Amino acid sequence: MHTSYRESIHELIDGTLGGIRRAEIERHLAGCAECRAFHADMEAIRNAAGSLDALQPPDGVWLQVAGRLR
Amino acid sequence: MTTSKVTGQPVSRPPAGSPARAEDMALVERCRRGDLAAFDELYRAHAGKLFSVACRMLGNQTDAEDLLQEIFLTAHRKLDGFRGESALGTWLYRLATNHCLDYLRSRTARTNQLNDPLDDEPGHFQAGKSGLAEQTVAKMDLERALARLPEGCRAAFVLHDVQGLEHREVAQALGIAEGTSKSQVHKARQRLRALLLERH
Repeated sequence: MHTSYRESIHELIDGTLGGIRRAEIERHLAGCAECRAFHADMEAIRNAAGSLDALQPPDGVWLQVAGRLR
Repeated sequence: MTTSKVTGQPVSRPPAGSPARAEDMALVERCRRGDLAAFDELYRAHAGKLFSVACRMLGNQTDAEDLLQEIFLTAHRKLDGFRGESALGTWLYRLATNHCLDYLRSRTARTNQLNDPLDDEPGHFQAGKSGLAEQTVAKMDLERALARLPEGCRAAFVLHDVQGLEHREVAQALGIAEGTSKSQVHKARQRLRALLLERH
């Protein structure tokens, strides 16, 4: 694993990498299996996190809040 | 100068003079005048997001329900101080994460829990170990691993990767620099990878 590429791989996943650096990383990933595996794992975690369900509080929470404000 | 609850370091306030948020300010103004229906509207708009953050920060739904009450009661009390320098949602995220971090620290003090040993070491990439990408990352496994992250990087990860805030907004919500938000999220992903691979 080339640790010097780590931050750029995260930025690649976040879509915040500039065009030149992005092209450089993509070239590196094409030839480096370890960095490619790291990229795939980080992307899998990011995608799984983004698909976690939104949670809703029970109605009782608002009733308690409103009761204490009245 | 205020102190970040994430890093413990002094931080600057968010830059003043960002565009006024007319809708937020109108709603806040109605709340300030004691309009409970307006506060109900504010609650409906933000409770789900803040509850999701609290559940994932505390790892416990019952505690999150209690804390959500306190978050909104504090928000109601502090609305006079809201100046529209950031979006109302970001201001509320900040209030919520501060409540969560205070709660976690007092719980740690009560139970004398030690930080996870991963706190000082980002998850190391282990060459040769089967990768996560070849399997599906199960939501339940991710939720469990999330609860084991150190609280600072857990907060940044929940806000950025789960809630979808930009690093600029995470930085405002947590009172940290944008670069710190990035490094905390990156560390969190690497630690999660190590934790998730332990299960396989």
